[in-house]
Amino acid sequence: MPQLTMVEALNLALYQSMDADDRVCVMGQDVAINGGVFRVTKGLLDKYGERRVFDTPLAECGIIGTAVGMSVYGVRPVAEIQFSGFAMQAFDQIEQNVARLRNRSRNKYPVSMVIRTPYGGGIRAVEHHSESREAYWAHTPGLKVVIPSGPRNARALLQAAIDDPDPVIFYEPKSVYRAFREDVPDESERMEIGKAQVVRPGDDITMIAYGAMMRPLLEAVDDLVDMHDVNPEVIDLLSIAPMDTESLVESVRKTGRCVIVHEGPKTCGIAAEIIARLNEHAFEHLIAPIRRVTGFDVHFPYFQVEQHYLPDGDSIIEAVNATMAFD
Amino acid sequence: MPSQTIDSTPDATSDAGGSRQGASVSEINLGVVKDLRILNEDGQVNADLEPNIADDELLRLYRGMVLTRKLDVRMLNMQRQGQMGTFAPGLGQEATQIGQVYPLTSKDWFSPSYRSFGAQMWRGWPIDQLMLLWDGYFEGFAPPADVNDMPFSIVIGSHVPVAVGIAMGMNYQQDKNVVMVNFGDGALSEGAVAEALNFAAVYKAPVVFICENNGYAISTPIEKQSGVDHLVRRGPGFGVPSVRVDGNDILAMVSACSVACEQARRGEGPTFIEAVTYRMSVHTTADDPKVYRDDAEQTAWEQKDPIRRFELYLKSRGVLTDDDITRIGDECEQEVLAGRESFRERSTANPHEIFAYMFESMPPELREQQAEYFERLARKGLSEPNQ
Amino acid sequence: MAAEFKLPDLGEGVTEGQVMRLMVKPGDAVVEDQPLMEVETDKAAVEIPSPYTGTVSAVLVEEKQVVNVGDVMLAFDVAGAPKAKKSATSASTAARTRKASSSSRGNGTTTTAAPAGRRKPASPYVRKMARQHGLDLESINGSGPGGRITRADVEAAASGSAGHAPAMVAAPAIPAAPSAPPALITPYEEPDGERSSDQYGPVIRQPLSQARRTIARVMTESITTIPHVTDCEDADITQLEALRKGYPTDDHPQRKISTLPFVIRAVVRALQRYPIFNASLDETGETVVYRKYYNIAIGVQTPRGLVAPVIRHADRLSIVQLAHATNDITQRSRTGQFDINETRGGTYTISNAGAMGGSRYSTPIITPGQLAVLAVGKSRWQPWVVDGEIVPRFIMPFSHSMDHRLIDGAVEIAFMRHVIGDLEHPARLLLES
Repeated sequence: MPQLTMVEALNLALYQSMDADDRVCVMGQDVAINGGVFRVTKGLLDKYGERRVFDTPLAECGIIGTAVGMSVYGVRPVAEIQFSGFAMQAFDQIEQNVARLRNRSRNKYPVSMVIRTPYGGGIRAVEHHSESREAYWAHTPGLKVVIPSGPRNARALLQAAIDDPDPVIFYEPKSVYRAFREDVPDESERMEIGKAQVVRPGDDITMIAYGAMMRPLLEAVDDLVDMHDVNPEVIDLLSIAPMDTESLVESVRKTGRCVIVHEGPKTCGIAAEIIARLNEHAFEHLIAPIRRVTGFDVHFPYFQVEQHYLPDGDSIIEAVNATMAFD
Repeated sequence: MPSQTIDSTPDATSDAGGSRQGASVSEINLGVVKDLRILNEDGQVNADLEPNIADDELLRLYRGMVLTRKLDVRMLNMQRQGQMGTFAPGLGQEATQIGQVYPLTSKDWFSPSYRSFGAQMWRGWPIDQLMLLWDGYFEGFAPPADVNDMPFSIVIGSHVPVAVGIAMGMNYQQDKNVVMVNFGDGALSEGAVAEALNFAAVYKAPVVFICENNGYAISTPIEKQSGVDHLVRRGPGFGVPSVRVDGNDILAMVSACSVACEQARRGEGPTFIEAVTYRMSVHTTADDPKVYRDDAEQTAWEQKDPIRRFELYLKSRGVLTDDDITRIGDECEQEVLAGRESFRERSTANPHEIFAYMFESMPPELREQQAEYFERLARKGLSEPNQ
Repeated sequence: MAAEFKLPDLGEGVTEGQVMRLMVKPGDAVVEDQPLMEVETDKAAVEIPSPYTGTVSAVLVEEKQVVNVGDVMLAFDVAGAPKAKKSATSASTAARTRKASSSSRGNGTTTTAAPAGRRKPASPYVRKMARQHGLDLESINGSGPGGRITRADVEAAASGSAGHAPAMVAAPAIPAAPSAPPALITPYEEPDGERSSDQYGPVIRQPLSQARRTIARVMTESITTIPHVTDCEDADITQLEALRKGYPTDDHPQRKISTLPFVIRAVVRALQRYPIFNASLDETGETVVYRKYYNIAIGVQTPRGLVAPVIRHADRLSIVQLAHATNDITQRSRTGQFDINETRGGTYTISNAGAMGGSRYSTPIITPGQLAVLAVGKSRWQPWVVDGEIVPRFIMPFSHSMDHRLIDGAVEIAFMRHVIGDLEHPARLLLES
């Protein structure tokens, strides 16, 4: 089983989906000759040619709008937005057409397309290159929002997203792109969109994160187990929308405690939504108030101070300890 | 006063190398001809440009324009009578509407803006459905099964990149079809439309852009909308062949659009057509044009009425009599009233439609919300919801 | 057949319109689409065409009259049934009936009266536990911060209320402090040992016990390797004393709580704020190790000497839990029923050993592996100057030794201000996490 980085795993997913289905095409800024600024689409042009792998003008609204049209005509575009911060230029198309066309056409024109885009901080990038705005998309009815956390689930989720009959915003944690390698089987895999994964069973507290935040969370878990005598259950959300409420509720009904971690701003973030759902479905099981470890309600800081913004192992451990202390 | 005029003859000093006066319609080079008019305001035809259209086809075009106007007037009355939602009349734009979709085949695609019910009827949208649409029923939006049309998006210009994408899809699938997309003068100020024009040019997408320049974006006149006197000048900057057409001249509309479609089908890419017309009525039923324009301006445009002009031409050709005019008017009115009857029969609000078609299969959170809502309705003793 | 015509919404969200001109009068025959009147709204002036063919039977509005959307303006006699859209469906019926149902809601159908006062704090899970046990939370005393009822409180109440008697069993009372601390000033006893003499006279030679040898070694190591500085401070704990004295209730007149748990809580909060005091210097002497856990050693005087058993994760414990823990370890230390491992892993030491004997200030010695030690002296009423007045206040003395290699005086002062501030304002201890 080859050991791949997330970039390599995503690249493999694209090869495998393009091999399996002639309708799948890859479009975006610098995706063809250049293979993408992060090299996720490397080599695809050579193998599949300009018809299926093409560079677009520098126009996010145009990329997403035309991708919608292509999907209406039966093509399955995987459109790349070079950085998720640039997706704001395409907000209009995502809201007006990507999310709505199936509904507006009363099911005649489903939009089966994927918007791939790197998100998140921690790579010392310039402004608008580090945002985590998944809550925007999750708040838009009609979109699916998926965020992998490692190479293997990235490959499996991207292939599932390409197969999906509905539009998927596929957020790629760019700080994980080359951070580590993982066994990724040669044969295609699919993970069901809308399912979370319990990556570590435990009894004391439920810890929930997704994407890039799974790494500091798992580091914190090591310390919590070794030094704090806490036995957490860890859930990788994977799919922001739809959300696997059932798995979250089941876990919190067992543990009675919960800490949620994300790097997007705190107010109206995904953690707030999770807390609301746990309130609806696990209220009587709560021993302690649910805590969130998140970014602040500020614009993503310039990179000399970005580490102060991002949740880390320490801040997660503090939140868990404070939650555990409550009885 | 907006410069809503069009030269009576093609401009001999056009940018792209001289005019082609006297060319037959099929030879009109849309990148060269700057202004196109075939019928003048008195219904006199420029014989050099007169298209070769059979009499029954001419009558079909005429009937389409009359039906559009009848529906327009009826829906406005219905709105004033409390039987119709807010809607956007298209009075005076009938030639632009019918002329643009005339060359399309059933395999071609049409992506309208909202002031397009004339073109939609021509394409096969039933009258009752258009009434459902404007009276706020989800069912109104579903494009008929055999009609390759997009439902319109209310956000100005947002549908144009999608239309270009459909054309790119045609190239991808190597089909020789065409996409026609229309939008207003205001839409040309939208970034999405600029991006769409650029994409179409870069990929040589088989798309025909119809800019229905009716002089106003609600209250904003064209001078405050654009720094160029004629919107047609926008196209060449993107590398898109462009032509300015008298939008109240059905023959000019049909001719220009036919040529544009043929070029697209031949793989020559997009065309931009500025159709110069005038919105004789309100922007929508929630608008009062007296606030921002003079009656005199409107009166002047009455002289350029597209239906009257076409009637004069058809009568001069001996294709249409005064009796025909009355008969066709009555037939169209009856068709509209029959559509209204059917609309009244079908206008049942079904709350299930709220939850339908968000995704191929309903996600759990939405299923839960739906179940809760219908339980609540049932608890209140309200009639069982449909389905 | 009679029909009415109501003012429709002529714009988007228009609520009223003014009748500008009436174009029909009662008795007029009208055909569909014939103009009836001109109405001006704040969006537009429009002519209203007749929706019916028939006779105007009544005109219910006048020119210049302002009419609300939905008001009947005209009545018609219509030949045959008037055509209109199908009757409204369930959803719009719901909208129309909303007003009625909301007014009926006001008629006091609510059966659950709001609780008269503030309900006792408890987590949702604890409330559920209480319901399952048939216990009334209001009758349970909370041992958690701010009187919060904990799971342990409910469990105790439940086990004490076998059968279905109303829960009268309260939170476990804090065991009273050991009633008689070992007397430190004891009557004279001849020391055991080998009697002999040195060059100046008779002596008794007694070998050191293992425990004492250990203490000696540790003390020597500490005082010879760590440059100690000791700061002496006072805290005015009058408020805290009153709070503490208010802990017994009529139901539980015997229960007590000492000041020590409050001191531990205050120290933990200060350690979280000033992490250097919870740190250590590693073997190389070149790296400071900040501990993110708070294990507080409590210095206890025992018959065998001073020991310092550790309360682990003191930051996770409520004040009442800290009281339980200190009582438990001091009891067991004095009776020797503790494991040596329980004295390991401390990050900071608090000693109130001196207080037991009435000492005020001292120079406590830092446990190797830690950077500071706090000795709590005997509190007593003292004349104190408050707002220019001499008043009696209850004063707790502190002696705080720190490792001056790693800690500067200014930080130490800030640390102690934090501890003292908490103790002088006990609300902070109770209300802040």
